[in-house]
Formats: sequence, C-alpha cells, structure tokens
Amino acid sequence: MSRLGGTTRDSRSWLALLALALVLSGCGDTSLRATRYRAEQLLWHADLEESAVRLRDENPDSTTLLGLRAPYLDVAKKVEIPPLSAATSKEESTLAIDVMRLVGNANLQAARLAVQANRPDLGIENMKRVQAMAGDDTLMLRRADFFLVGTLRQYRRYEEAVALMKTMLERYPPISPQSTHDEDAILAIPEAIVRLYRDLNDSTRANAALDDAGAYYRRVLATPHSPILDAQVRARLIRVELEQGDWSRGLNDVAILRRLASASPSLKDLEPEIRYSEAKLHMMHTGRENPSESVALFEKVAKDFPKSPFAGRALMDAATLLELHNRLPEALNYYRQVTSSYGNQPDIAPPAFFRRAMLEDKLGNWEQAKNLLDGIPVRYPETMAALEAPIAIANRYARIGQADAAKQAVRKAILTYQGLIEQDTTSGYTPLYRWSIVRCYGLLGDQQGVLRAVDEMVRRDMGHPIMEQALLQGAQIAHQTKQDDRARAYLQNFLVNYPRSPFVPDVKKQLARLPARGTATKTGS
Amino acid sequence: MHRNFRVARACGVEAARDFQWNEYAPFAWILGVQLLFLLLVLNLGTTIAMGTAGAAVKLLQGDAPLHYPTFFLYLPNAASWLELVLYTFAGAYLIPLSIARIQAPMDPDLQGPGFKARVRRAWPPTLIALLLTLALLAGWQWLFNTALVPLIRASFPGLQATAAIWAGSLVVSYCLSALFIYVPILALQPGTSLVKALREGIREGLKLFKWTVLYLFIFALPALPFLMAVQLGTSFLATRMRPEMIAVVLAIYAILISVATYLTYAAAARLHWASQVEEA
Repeated sequence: MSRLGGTTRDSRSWLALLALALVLSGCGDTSLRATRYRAEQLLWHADLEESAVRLRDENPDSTTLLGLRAPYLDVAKKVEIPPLSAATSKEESTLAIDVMRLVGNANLQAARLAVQANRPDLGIENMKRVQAMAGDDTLMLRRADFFLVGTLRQYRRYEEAVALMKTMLERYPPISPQSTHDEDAILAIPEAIVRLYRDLNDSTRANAALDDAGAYYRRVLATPHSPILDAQVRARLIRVELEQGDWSRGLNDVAILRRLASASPSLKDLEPEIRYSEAKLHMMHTGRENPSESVALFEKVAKDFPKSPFAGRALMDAATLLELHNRLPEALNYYRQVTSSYGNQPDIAPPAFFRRAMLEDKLGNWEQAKNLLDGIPVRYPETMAALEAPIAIANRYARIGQADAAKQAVRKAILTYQGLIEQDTTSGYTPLYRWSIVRCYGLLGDQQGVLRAVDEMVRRDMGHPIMEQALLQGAQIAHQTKQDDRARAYLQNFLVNYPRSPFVPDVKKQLARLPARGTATKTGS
Repeated sequence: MHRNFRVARACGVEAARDFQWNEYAPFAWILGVQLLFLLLVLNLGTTIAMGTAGAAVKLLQGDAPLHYPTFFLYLPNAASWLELVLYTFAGAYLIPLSIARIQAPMDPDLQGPGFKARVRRAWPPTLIALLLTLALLAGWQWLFNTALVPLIRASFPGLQATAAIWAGSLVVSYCLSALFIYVPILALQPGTSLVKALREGIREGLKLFKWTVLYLFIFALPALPFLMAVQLGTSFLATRMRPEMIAVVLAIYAILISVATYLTYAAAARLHWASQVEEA
C-alpha cells in the first residue's frame, strides 16, 4: 500500500512538472517558433509530394501540375503570418519574418507550378499576393519581382518585363556582397534588358538599353559603397563601355578598377577581368593597324588565367581580330581552342563553333564544317548560332551551284527548326525559329509555305519585333499571289500592333494601293 | 566454468521468463518520459511541444535544430542525452526500486517496512556509480575518437570503417557499464554503506564480468539494429524515407532497450544471489 502511495506522489510530482512546462511553453516566442516549424514542415511535404510525382513522370501534365500547387497553397491557408507591432521584440520579429518568407516561398512555388502548367494568370496572381504580403521585406519583394520578370518573359510580355525590371532598379539599391564570388542580382538587370532586346533582334532598343545600363552603373558609382560593390559595378560599366566602343571612358574606368584592386587584397579575383579589359581596349585603339600586339595580350590573359571565364573570351576576341585581318589559319586555331576548351561557356561557345565552321569551309575542310554546323542546334539550342547554322549549310551548297543539295539542306533546316520549337514550345526563341522557317520557304520558292508560316507566326508571335518583317514579307507574297485580302489583313495587323514602327507610312501607302476588299483567303489572325 | 555458465544461463532465462510488470514499472516510468518526448517531437509544430521538447533541445543545442526537417538530424543526439539524464538521475532512484522488487521474493525483509528505507539508502551509491559510468564512457569516447578512429579509418574502407567504429565503441561502452551494474544490487543489501556498496559492487562486477557483458549483449541484441540504423543512417532515414521515421525508430529502440535494461538487472540480481548462495 505504501509503495502504491509513493508511486502516486511520484506521479503527482511528474504531473506538476509537466503542467509547469505546459504553462511555460506558451510564453515568449515559443508560439512563433512552432508556427515557423509548422510552415517549414508543410513546405517540405509539398516539395516531397512534387518530387515523388516528378520521379514517376519527368514532365507531368498541366492537371497534375495544378494539383501539385495545392500542398503549397495549403501553407498559406494553414499558417497565419504573425502581425508585427511596435511592442514586438527583435527575436519575435525575426521569427515572424521567417514565417512570412516561408509562406511567400510557398506561394512562389505555387506560382512556378502554375506557370509550368501554362496558367500564367494563376502564377502572376500568386506572385502579386507575395508582393502584397512582403510589406517592407526587400528580400521577399525582390524574389517575387525576379520571379515575375521571368514569367513575363516566358509569356513574351516583354514590355511589362522590361518595365518591371526598370522599377526594380529604382526600388532596390544594390547590396554589398561579402566576397567577390557573390554579386547582387540587381546589377545584372541592365544587361539583362540589353540581352532581351538583342534576343528579340531589336538592335535599336538594345543600343538604347546599353546606354541606360551605362547611365545606371555611373549613377550607382556616384554614391559611396564598399570596395567590392564598387569594383563589381565598375567592372560591369567597363563591359558596357567596351560594347559601346567607348575607348576613352573604358580606359579611364579600367585604370580606376586597377587602382581599386591593388588597394584591396580581396579584389585580386578581378585581375583576369582587368587584364582582359585592358587587352580589349588595346585592340580597340591599335587593333586595326597592329593586331598582333592585341592578339598577344589576349593570349596572355588566356594563358595566365585558363580557368577564368575571360580566358575563353580573350581567345574568341583574338580569333575574331585575326579573321578580320584575313589571317584565317591562325584565327581557326584560336576558334578551335575555344570550342575544345570552353565549349561549356554559353556566351562564346556557340558563335565560336559557327565561326570555326565557316573558316573550316573556307580553308577547304567542308566535311568538318558541315559536322560542326549540324551539331550547333543540338548542342546550343536557343542561340543565334542555332538559328543561322542550318541555313548556312544551304547557302554553302547554293554558293557552289549545287541547287538540289541546297534545296535538300533547306528542307532539313525546316525540320531542324520545327524540332527546336517542339523541344520547348514556350522558349523565347520560338518566334525566331518560325521566322527562320519563313526564310527557308522563301529560299525554296514555296510561296504558299511562306504564307502558312507567316499565318502561324500571326497566331503565336504577335507583338514580337520579328513579326514586323514577317508581316511585311507575308503581305508582299500575298499580293504577288493575288491574295490581296490576305495582304490587307497582314498590313492592318502591322498597323494595329506596331504603331510606332518607322515602316508605318510605307505600310499605309501599300494599304492604299491594294484593290477593294474581296472574298479572298482568310489569314489565321 | 561449465557449471558457472549453466547458472548464468539459468539466471538469464529465469529473468526473461519471470517478467513482472510491477518490477519493470520503474523502467516504464523512464520509458514513458522518453516516449512522451518523442511524441512531442512528432508534434513540434504545436506550441506545447515547442515549449517542452523544443525548449529542451534548444537548451542543449541552441536555435539551429528548431527547424524542419533539420530537427530530426539532431534528434538521435538529443534523445541519447535524454536517455543518459533519465537513466542517471531518475534511474538513481528507480533502478534500486526495480531491483528491490526483483529481490523481494528472495529477501523477506524487502517485503515489509524495510523496503522503503533500503531503496532510499541505495540511491546515493547508485547515482555515484552511474555518474562514474558516465565519466568513464566520456573518457573512453574521447580516447577512442582521438586515438583509434583515425587508425580504423586508415585501415578499412568507408562503410567497413564506419561499422567497425560503431561496433568498437559499443562493445567497450557495454563492458564499462558491466563493471557498475552490481553497485545498486549491493547497495540494497542490509547494513551496507556508500563506500562498501561501491567497492563491493565493482568487485562483484569484475567477478561476474563476462556473464554480465553476455547479458547486456543478449538482451540488447534486438535493440541494436535500431540503434545502428538511427546512429549511422540518420541522413538516409531523413532524406530517403521521412524525417519522422527517426523518431519512430528511436521509440522502438527506447522500448527495446528499456526492457533489455530491466532484464539485465533482473538477471544480474539473480546471478548475484546465486553466487552468494554458492559462497555460503
């Protein structure tokens, strides 16, 4: 009996301790920690569910993808973001921000899945929700904005994407990184805008964006920053100046960058870039008269820093310079070095392969050239080289008078472009592939083929700058084949979609010259 | 030798066959706390669990483990700390209590009012013995990690080395524990003092060393695969299965090792009694 009594008293003490723990558990930031843990748990299980589905099927259909959004959306439904007030302690506000970021991240994942399921409307809605909940949390806002830019670009809403990127440059001042290996993604935005316009084949706006980029970097440099950020911004500015061919400013900025780098040991990683920029500036100044000196400088950069991304660029520049001076065997040698050692560098490898193929052909090695050209669309899809390589084969046969081989090559090129479109139907390059198909039908003299391809572009690519050319070509051929209603539709589409184009007066004149409306073939638009 | 083995085997078999809930209850209390901890761990998204189990882990390892699923990677360590604390401090009272209940049929005095006094007298030497065990285990781990682990890693390839380190560490730890198992048994003897209980307990541990080690291994055998899984395969369980699996495996291990501890003490108490009868 006494033993039983002793046990009961023991039990009471244990229960009292437990009750005390339960009471204490409600105090302080425990509840916030529990909420954060619950959010992490829900997010992890949503990830797990998605991984399991993707293990079974690498490319799930849109219904499955939309179904996979549910666990991510559950995070937002089940986890309430704790409100912050003036009385909130630092620890508590950190935890509350953690919770908000987890919920925001879950929303972004749901947005990603919606975009993959071809429902950008749902995705954009999720991203806007993140922007609303982020409040003053710049990190979250930045993530949502970057995601939104990506989605807008994917859905070819280029103007909106550029507008958002421009506001991001105003809203988010660049953050100083801990080391030269990190860089704030904001710094890449000006050049991303330039690249976007270049991908759209819009050189006018690309050049304007390049000027804007230079102005932005100079504006950033005007305010004091840490030496690392300063060096990173100046390095980007030098790249812009090199592209603009602004020799004097480039030289001045390289000299400043060199001074910065020598004053701070943490900036020694910038040495390859400085040396490359110096070589490039040297080329811009004396390259025409004396290319050998610039080539030697580029070669030294590649030799001294073989693992730097600037090594490949230096070799590429050396090759281009030598090609310009008609020193073809030497140029070919450099292109070969780039393709063999820097084949994974996306900015230089595709053009290097293309130029190498051209030189191999010029120097009498057509088989090698053809193999290289055939390989480019496979190895580097979504590049200008992939667009040009198939047509280059056809052009070569046409040049040497092999008309049948040329036609066969053009038909093969059409299949290649169609394959590239099927590979990634939402790629930003699909309008350009379709435009290449139009060109191919033009080379074949297949006017109906051209019109079919233009109709396809009208259905899918309206708004893309390349459509201006496609519509003009379509109108011309439709007029030639006596399909004036079709020609009129193309030209009217042009006026509606490209009102600021310099061709507008010509288009209006063409429209006026067309005979009155009949009952000819309709366009896909 | 042959006879000794027969006696040891008989004590072990009888301990297992004569399992009594009443005798096991003190170990069940420790097990209850361990299971409660694991239950809370599985519900760490609630304020109650975060305020108790989470707070305990935070006390040990700071805020870093209080994230999902990272928490489960820290869990084996936290659970082993809890096991150590419970078996050392709560065990200082509960182990003699259980042994007293085991010995009661063989000792008429333990069936009467002397029970409580003898249990109370037994906890200080038991606590010292358990703390000594802890100190020796810590010393052994340090020595093992600094001197032997590099040697094993240099001599065997990856997986074999890991298994050898785990087995080596376990065997020596069990051997060290075997030395102190008889301290609470001797501490319950009438008219014993703290020093005498420690001295006689360790002497008895040395005398019956091989049989005690045998008990430890045989009874712990079902728990060892779970211990191995949780100690060597934590990341595997967390990433390839589910993080919660770690808590489930730890719960199975805790149940099995609790029963094994009870059976080891029950067999050791019987072996000590048989050895006394033989000497008399």
